[in-house]
Amino acid sequence: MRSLIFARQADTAAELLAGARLLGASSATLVVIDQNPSAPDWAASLAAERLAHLALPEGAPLETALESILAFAEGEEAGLVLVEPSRSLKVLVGGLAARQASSLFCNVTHLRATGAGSYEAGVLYFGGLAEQRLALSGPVAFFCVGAGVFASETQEPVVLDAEVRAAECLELRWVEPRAERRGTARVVEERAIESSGTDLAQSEIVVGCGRGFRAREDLALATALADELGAGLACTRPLAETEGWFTHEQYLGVSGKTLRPRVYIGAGISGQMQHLIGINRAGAIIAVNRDRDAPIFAQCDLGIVGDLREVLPALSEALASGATDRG
Amino acid sequence: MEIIVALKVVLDDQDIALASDGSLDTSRAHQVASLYDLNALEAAVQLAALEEGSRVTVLTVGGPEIDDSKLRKNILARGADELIMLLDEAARDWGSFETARALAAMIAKRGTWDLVVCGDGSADRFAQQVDVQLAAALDTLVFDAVVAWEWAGAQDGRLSLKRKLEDCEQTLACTLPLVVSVMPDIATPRICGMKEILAAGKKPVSVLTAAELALDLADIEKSGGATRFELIETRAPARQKRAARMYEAASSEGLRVFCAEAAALIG
Repeated sequence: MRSLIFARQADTAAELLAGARLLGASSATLVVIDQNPSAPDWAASLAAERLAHLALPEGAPLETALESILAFAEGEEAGLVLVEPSRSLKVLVGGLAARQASSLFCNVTHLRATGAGSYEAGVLYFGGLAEQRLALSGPVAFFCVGAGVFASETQEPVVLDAEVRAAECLELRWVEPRAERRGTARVVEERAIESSGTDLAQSEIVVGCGRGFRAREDLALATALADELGAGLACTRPLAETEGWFTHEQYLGVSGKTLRPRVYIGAGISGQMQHLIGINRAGAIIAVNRDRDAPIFAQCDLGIVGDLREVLPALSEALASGATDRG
Repeated sequence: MEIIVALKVVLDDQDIALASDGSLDTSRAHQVASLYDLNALEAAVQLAALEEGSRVTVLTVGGPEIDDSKLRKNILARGADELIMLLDEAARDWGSFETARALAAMIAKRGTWDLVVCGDGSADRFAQQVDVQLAAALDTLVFDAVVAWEWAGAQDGRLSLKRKLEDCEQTLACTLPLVVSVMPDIATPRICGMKEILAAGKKPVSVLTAAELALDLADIEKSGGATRFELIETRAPARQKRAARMYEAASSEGLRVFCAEAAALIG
């Protein structure tokens, strides 16, 4: 069975490529779409038998690339298509699935092959309140798989011999959306969102901020604690999307990131399942909240009922003096 | 402007009880409009207000149990002009592929349209794929993650979309027709007063079956056969048992011990 992988970044691409092997793929083709004239360097070093790149012309949204990848993707005759959970790729690959009378299965929590062309997948139900186990079968299956789903399996890194690894990159030609396809769209402005600079997936300790932070100034307390611990700083969805105090990459939970830090410190987080799903596999959970009935207290190792403006500075200070004592 | 809102009716998760064996008791859960679809509806109604003669039609697809007068009024009191429902036993288990085919047939039966607005994702599966599948069925472009829009007026037929993607904020200049899905921040659902709720009772509601739509279910299932899926079970994940040692910051001793234990956990 051949597989087709759509990814935007080296780490997610590597994980999906390894995942495709776990699911029984005999070969993998990596497709990278961006605005650069040629494939990024990282793509060539990955364990894929084939590599294809599409350069988007100026002003063309990635979502309009369906016609450009269609012939190539269908020609691959892949039995398995994996895509990382990025907004634009989910739209593009979902459209590809629709063209093949199929659909893209998202929010996959686990995935295993149960036979040729058949799989068992876990998908989130009501933001992690429950999980649905699905049995899927067919000549082709499309899954959107986030970081950590395949990494949780014990596996050897995939290494391909030089002679089977993609020796060169196939450049796909841009094809304008068909005239019959209605609606037009051009990118008129694109502003990069500044990265937070930390890779949360690599952080041993993560400090998460929730609605309990009423004012932006109070975030300094969480930053101070994170700095003291060398921890990553994260948040719940409203703080990233409604308040805009954090970047999208810092938001944990359904449709955000899922992490497994050694310690998670949740400050001002009530503990909605939609957020907890992003951190409930942490080694230890420490919770700070004013509301003693906050659901997070039922799922933490250590909790304190109190104002985070009092607790966080006290904790930072205790940790700093502890570090000095040890030092 | 003819605006269609695709709205999913789901169980109210506040009323889903978890049994000790991890199974779900949904017997007390009412059928409600999926939360983020209400943001989509509000955004659509606000957009329609910018262009005289615009109409907002809400479409929903599901099992017969989703229909009740409270739900109808809840949707129509929010400024929609009309509600069209497809109610069918088979629809209860439909995935995004089948649902989108049904929605496309409902849209075709209804007539002309300019814009389809979907919510960011449904409360139950949050697959974010009905908009994508619907655009494929309607042969239209689709964009998600829309946080704001600007309408240039009917003469121009141009809609400018502002999207928030993972690594950038993007502005698109679009022409209609188009399918979009919107993020919750685009508009806050209104609180309906008694006047709106009473007026909602007089707005048109039509109920269709798959047969009336000439929607051949066997055909849909066959063509959806590229990936067939069956639900094996729905179960709450086993929760890791955690100690939940609790302290109170109100007592200085409580705060001190908490900090000491936190330091020990952090190591």
